[in-house]
Amino acid sequence: MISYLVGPQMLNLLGVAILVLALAMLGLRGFNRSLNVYAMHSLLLAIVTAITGYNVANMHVYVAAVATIIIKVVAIPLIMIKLVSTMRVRQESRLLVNAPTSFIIAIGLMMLASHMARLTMPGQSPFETMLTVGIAVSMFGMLLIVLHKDAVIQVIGLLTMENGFFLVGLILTGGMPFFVEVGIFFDILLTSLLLWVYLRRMNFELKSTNTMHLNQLRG
Amino acid sequence: MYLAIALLFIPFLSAVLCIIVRRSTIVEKVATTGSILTLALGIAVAWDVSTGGSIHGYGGYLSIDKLSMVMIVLITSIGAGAILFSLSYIKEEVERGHFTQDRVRWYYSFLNLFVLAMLLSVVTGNLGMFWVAMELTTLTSALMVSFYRTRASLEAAWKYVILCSAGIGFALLGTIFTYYSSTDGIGGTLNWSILMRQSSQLNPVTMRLAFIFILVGYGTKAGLVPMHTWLPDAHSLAPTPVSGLLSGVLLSCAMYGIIRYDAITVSAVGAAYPGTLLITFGLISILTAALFMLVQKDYKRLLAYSSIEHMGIIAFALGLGSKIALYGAIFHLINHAISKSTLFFIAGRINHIFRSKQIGRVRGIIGVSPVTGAFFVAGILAIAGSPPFGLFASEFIILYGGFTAGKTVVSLIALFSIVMAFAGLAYYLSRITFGPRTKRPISYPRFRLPVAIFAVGLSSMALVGLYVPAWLHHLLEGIAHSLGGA
Repeated sequence: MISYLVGPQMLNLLGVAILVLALAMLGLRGFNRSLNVYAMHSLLLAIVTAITGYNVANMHVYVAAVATIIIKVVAIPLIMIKLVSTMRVRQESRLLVNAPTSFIIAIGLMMLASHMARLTMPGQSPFETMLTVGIAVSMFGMLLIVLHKDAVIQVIGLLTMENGFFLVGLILTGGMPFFVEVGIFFDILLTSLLLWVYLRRMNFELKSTNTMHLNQLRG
Repeated sequence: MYLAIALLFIPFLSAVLCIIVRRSTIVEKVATTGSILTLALGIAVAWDVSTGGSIHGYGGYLSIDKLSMVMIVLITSIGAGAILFSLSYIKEEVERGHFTQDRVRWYYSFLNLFVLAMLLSVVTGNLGMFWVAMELTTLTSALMVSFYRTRASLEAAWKYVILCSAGIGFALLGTIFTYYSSTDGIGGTLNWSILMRQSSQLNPVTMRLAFIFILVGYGTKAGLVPMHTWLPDAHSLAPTPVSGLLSGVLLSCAMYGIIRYDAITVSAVGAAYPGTLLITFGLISILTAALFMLVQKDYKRLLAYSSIEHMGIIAFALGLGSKIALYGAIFHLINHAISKSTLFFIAGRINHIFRSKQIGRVRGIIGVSPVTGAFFVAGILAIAGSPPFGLFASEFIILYGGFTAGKTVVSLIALFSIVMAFAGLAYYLSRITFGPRTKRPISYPRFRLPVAIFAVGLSSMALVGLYVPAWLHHLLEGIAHSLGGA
């Protein structure tokens, strides 16, 4: 286990901020706003990564922090914002249920996450908090995918989920084996690229990213 | 060890060459040569493992035991079958204007990358690398699902990537938890052979959490209900040779992951917990798939649902956990891979002959095309699990294992669902074979190679259904033993 000599209090604070931002994403509607929040979310994650890197004195955790900034704070949001700006459709996502209901579901998921964290690392600050945050954020990402009927928001949901998993990995292992970590970043990049291609085609062919229009295949 | 590296290098080289050389005749030659070379190397690696024991190297990143060896042989042989079948299939598709000539090289390139990703997933001994390879299989095969560039294929590919990436995200969480559960006892590793050997050192609480995440994650890729919704779309809209690979091999690769984790979890926390989960997911999958099979109109979707059924049967057998059930599970995996991919290839021919994927349009098949028609009928009988085909034998072994282990109720439910799926397939079969003949289809070119592929696939299935050779028996027994079957 990592011993945090520097910044356990700060980590708790960052953890709460990460959780709040993910929760906020559930209620947001505009694409640009969601993407900006995602970029901020990733920036906080990069800071947590850097602090962890300092504490475990491991070079490749620093590398992961830098990679997070380059890929998730800058590259992906920029590319997505550029794509969204070319869309001529109404940039607003429709929720399947209303916002209060989705928050209630989110609170339920948070309690489940807290339970799992307690099973894994009972009573160890800041680990239990961070683990709760990580699992909860990944579940919120899942919720974004399920509840929003828009392809752009679904991509943001997938990326948010991945941020949650990354946080869990960081807290539990203090950096996975190097090749595995490189492989994970590589996969994220490729997945985003592929989804970007599909989004462009959807925009071009359907003139919309509303997934309600993707309804030919049933049963 | 060098053979294994070469095994990965050839599909990669072939994928690159397919893009560089633009002439489609040369592309086809490159793809054919590559697939045959890969198959030869796959068999050579299998020979190495079966005579010289497991191969380990590169700090556990490369690790091939008997189970991986079986997977390698399945991937390379069915991969070669798919590429050889593509030769005539793609030519016909281009002639019918479904896609343009200049995209053919991309098709072969993607196909090779897809095979490479699957090979990578089974040769690695590191569960983290396995995760990376599984995600790569999603990406490379998504390119093939959306290959026709229609609205429906875009929809299928979108669902496929979003759902499988989300699902496999949970598998990453499971992988992280597995790593964490090994930190106190073993010092943190994702190498499955070490995890397996020192499973008593694993933290049982986190290992339980890990297993449920893994089951949801890789279960999504394996098409277990309720995470299966992407599967019928993706499998029915990909070009047919790819559907064969997706259904026959990729599902097996995901199942391979579940098998590995199941073995580790069973020896770390006991058989009851993973067993109950697997049996539940397995039974729900078999039952749901059997129900959906009764109402299908598209025969490629029908085959896709049948894959869900068979994955459910394998999960069920893993959950039973006895040595005989594990033997049956691996046997079923092999039989399903070969039968289903062969049947998808045949379905591709049927689609070309009748120009429709609708079951209602395919009538009096034996009269229209005696050879392909007979193969189609035999293939459907094979996946329905009727004797003399291999799937009958393995289903029988699994159910026998269930009843002898005293799990009567669940075995009865499984038996009932399997019979229902059989009835569904038999109903369609009677309509396809004996129904009034549809108006005479337009002439189609005859090829010898596809027929040879169908014959090899189905006759091998008939053979193992009638008689399991001694070497196969020993192999399956060895694998069941290594997975901890008591």
